[in-house]
Amino acid sequence: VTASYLDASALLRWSEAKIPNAESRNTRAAAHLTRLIDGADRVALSEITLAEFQSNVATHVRSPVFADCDQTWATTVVTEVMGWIATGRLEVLPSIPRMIAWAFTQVEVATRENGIALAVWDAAHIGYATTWARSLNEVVELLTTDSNFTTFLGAYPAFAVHIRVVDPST
Amino acid sequence: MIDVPHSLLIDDEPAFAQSLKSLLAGRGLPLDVANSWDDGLNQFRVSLHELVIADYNLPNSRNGLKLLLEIKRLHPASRLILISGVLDAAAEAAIARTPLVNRYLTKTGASMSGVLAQEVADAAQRAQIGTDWLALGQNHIERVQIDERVLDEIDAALSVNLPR
Repeated sequence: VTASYLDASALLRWSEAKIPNAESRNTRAAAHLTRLIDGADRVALSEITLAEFQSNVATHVRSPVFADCDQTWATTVVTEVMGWIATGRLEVLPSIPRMIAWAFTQVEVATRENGIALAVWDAAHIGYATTWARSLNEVVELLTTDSNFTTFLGAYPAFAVHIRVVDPST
Repeated sequence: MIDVPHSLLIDDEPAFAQSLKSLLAGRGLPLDVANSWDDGLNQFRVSLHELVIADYNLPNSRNGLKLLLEIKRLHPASRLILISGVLDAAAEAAIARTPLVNRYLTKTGASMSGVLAQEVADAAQRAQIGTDWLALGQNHIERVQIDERVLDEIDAALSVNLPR
C-alpha cells in the first residue's frame, strides 16, 4: 500500500492529541498520521473530510466538554492541516460530481440489505477512497476510527479489493 | 478529475468484450468488463456505473431480466442496455414494454459497436456533471412501479429458445 485516505475521525483524533493530557488513543492516532505525513507515500482526503473536520473542530470549541479545545487550538490544528495541503504533503482529491448520489444509494442498500449503520458522509469517504484506488490500480488504506466502515466492508467484500480500513488509534 | 470507467459490460464472449474495449481505448474511454452476472454485480456494487451493457444470455451464469432489475433497484439512475444475439423481434418488443431497459441492441447489428461507443462516451460525460436530482426522483418512482411478474413471464418465455 502506498496511498492512504483520511476520513474526518482520523484528523480529529490527531487534533485532539494536541491538548494537554490527551487520551492514549488520540496520541496513537496522531503518531500514525504524523508518520504518514512525514513519509514518502501519498496521503489524501476529500472536501467531505475537510468539511466534516472543520465542523467538528468548531463544535469542540463551543462545547464545554472539550475545555482545552479553544479557539487557539482550533486555529492551530486547522492551520497545520491547511499547511500540509499547501506544501503538497496532503492531497485534496478532485471532487466527484455524483458522489453524493453514489453515497445516497450505498446508505440505502446497506440499511435495506444488512441493517448497517452508515452515514452518507461515511459512504462518501468509502466512495472517494474506492474511486482513488481504482484510478491508481492499487489498494488504498482508509484511515478511520469509526467501526462502521469495517462492518460495511465485511458485508460487501467487493470493496475490499480496493480499500483496507485501518484504525490509526489502535 | 479521477479517471475511472463509468460503463460496465457484462458479457461472456471474450472476443466481443476485447473488441469493444479496444475500440473504446482508442477513444480514451475506459470500460469495466465482467464475464458473469455475479462478477458484474460485484463490480457494479462498487462503482454504480452510469451505464450497464448486459448480454441477455450468459450460459454459465445467472441471467434474465430479473437480474437487470437488481441493477435498477441498486441504482435506478444507471442506464441499462440489453444486447443479445439470440432474441427475436417478438422478444425485443416484449422487453421494450417494460420500463426496465433503456435500449435494446442486436449483437449482429453492423452498427452496434459504434452505437455502444457513443453510449459509453455519453456516460463518461454525464459522470462529469452534477446529479440530475429531478431525473433521479423519476427513476426512483419508476423503480417501484416495475412489475416483477411481468419480467418473470418474459424470462420464462424467452428461456425456452435460449442456447445452453
